[in-house]
Amino acid sequence: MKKEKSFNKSTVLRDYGLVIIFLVVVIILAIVTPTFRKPMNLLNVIKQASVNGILAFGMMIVVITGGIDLSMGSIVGFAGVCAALFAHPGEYPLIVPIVIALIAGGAIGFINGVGVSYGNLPPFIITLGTMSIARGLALVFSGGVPVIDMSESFVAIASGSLFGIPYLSYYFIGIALIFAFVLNKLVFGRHVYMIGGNKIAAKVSGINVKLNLLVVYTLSGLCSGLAGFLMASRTNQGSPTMGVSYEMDAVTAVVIGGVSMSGGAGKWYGVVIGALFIAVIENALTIFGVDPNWKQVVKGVIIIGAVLLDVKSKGKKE
Amino acid sequence: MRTKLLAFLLTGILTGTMLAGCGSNAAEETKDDTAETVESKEAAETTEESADSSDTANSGEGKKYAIFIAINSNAFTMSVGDGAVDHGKEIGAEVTVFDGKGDQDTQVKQIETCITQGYDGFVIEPVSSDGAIPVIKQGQEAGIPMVTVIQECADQSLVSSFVGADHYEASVIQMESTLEKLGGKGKIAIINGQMGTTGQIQITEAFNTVLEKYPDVEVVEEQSANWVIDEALKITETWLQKYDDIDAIVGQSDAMALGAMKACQDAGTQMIISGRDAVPDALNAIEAGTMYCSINQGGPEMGAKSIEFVNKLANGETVEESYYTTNTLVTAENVADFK
Repeated sequence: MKKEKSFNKSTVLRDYGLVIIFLVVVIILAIVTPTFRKPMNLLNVIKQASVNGILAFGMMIVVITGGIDLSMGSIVGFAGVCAALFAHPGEYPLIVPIVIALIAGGAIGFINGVGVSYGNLPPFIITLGTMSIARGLALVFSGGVPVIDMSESFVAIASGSLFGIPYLSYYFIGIALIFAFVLNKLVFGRHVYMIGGNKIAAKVSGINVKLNLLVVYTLSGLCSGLAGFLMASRTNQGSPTMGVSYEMDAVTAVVIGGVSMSGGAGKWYGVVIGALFIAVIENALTIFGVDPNWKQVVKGVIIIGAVLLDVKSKGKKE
Repeated sequence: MRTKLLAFLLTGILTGTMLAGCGSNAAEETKDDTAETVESKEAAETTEESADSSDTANSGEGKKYAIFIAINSNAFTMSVGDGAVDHGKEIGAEVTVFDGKGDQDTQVKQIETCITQGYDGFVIEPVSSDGAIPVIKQGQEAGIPMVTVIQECADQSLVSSFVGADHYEASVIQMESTLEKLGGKGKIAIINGQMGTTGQIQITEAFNTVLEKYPDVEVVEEQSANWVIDEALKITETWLQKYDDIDAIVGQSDAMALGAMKACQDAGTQMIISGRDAVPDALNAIEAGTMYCSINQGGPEMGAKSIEFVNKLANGETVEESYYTTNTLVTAENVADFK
């Protein structure tokens, strides 16, 4: 009985501890610097967290199944280039570049899924391969230089706002709610957690593990494709080198959000907080004029801290 | 077991593709032994000295040159490669462009493989000025004429020349014209390239030298966006919340300047923005009036000159120790010349 109580306490602390730490940091920053607490700046922070947040959800479901997707950043570049090629003024309806980006991302994600489930390749290996392939394709399709000359409506998708709130934030919230629904309300969601918890047990209990993993990696690819499209819109160009290391930021958001790297656990709102947390830290470091290289150090320290917390609370469980 | 096998297979395919990239030109060569290749190459070069230097139009006839770019992923480096290839066509030589993908090891393997393929000269942009030295020494031992391009290597005595841009001068021009546009006073923010890269160091030095002459100009912020557009966008977005009175943003490259420009557009502001490289999108922005200026550093000229130099060397002539391309300020007035 006593053991059960401490298990609940540490899980609760880990789940809500993150939210508490996040709020404390935000409040401190708001007090210390007037720039941070400006409404427009706070809206910017959410906007700046949005693309990474969308990627983080793709990474999240992959990590829950015990895998990793290293190809996300390269897909962002690849999908961005593909979208940009079809986004010149007056050529194609706006739906075309959006769909093309999703297809580009979904296709690479599908390859990852096939490699993991039917090829029995470790996720690290197959996504390392597609990371290189997607980046190469981005360079080939773009001719090595950024694709420019975008239509205004294409650029507006990631740059405009509604009721004063940036569009990007709406997309982030939308994706978050979709994943919350999928993970908590759909049978597929339950299967994802079970596969991550114990693949063999999941298979034995009748779950089609291979098919589910295929869907998981394709979904991750779709998230990357969407992010690629949004970045091309946001930066007004389809750069083949866009997105380098984006998968690292996605993993960071996922880990900070309390998703266990060994699989089987993680809450959707943790990922939201994780993505916001990173954006808050980056925003603060810019306001304070800190060298961006220190941002890398800070991120690394945070990710180690979050993983330690994860390992420690697992230790308490046993 | 099957997994490991597949993993090895993948690695093998990757390595094989890398070697194939250089080796595909070997199809025309009939030399088998590496040692023999090197010796017979040296013998062939001494007999080629009889080439008439006044017949420069075709003095490259039948020659093969390789140009190794550190990372061929922006309009500027692409234009250098294109300039090299085009000049090769003019003189009747075949020029192949290799992309080191920003990895010194990759570049070393490319150069090593090409040393055995009978090339008449190398143009090298070292990924790392120190890291490239060993492989450049190998090229020297193989008797291959070499020049460095875009960036120097740590020991220029190993090669015959350096063809590049004078980033220092370009940045002086950029900062001076930006500050003149401001009337010599105001608040500016600077966006740096990746800290510690040769380019960034030279440019920052140039900026500081110019700024000393303008005491009424205040640098309110200075941050690095690591040469990429999305980081510059994010940083500028935040700056625009911190300040409402910045007069100009000076970016060490066009990519970052364009990111800053987009952030201003999103926020509904406009200010003087300057960059460097004169990439197509920057030229468009200058034409549209959303960017003030950029600097053209003669990319094609750089590529062409480097091939001209190795070709001279392959024909037994000497070349100057260094050559700097022309830096030209590009503003709305002359932007049409560069499009």
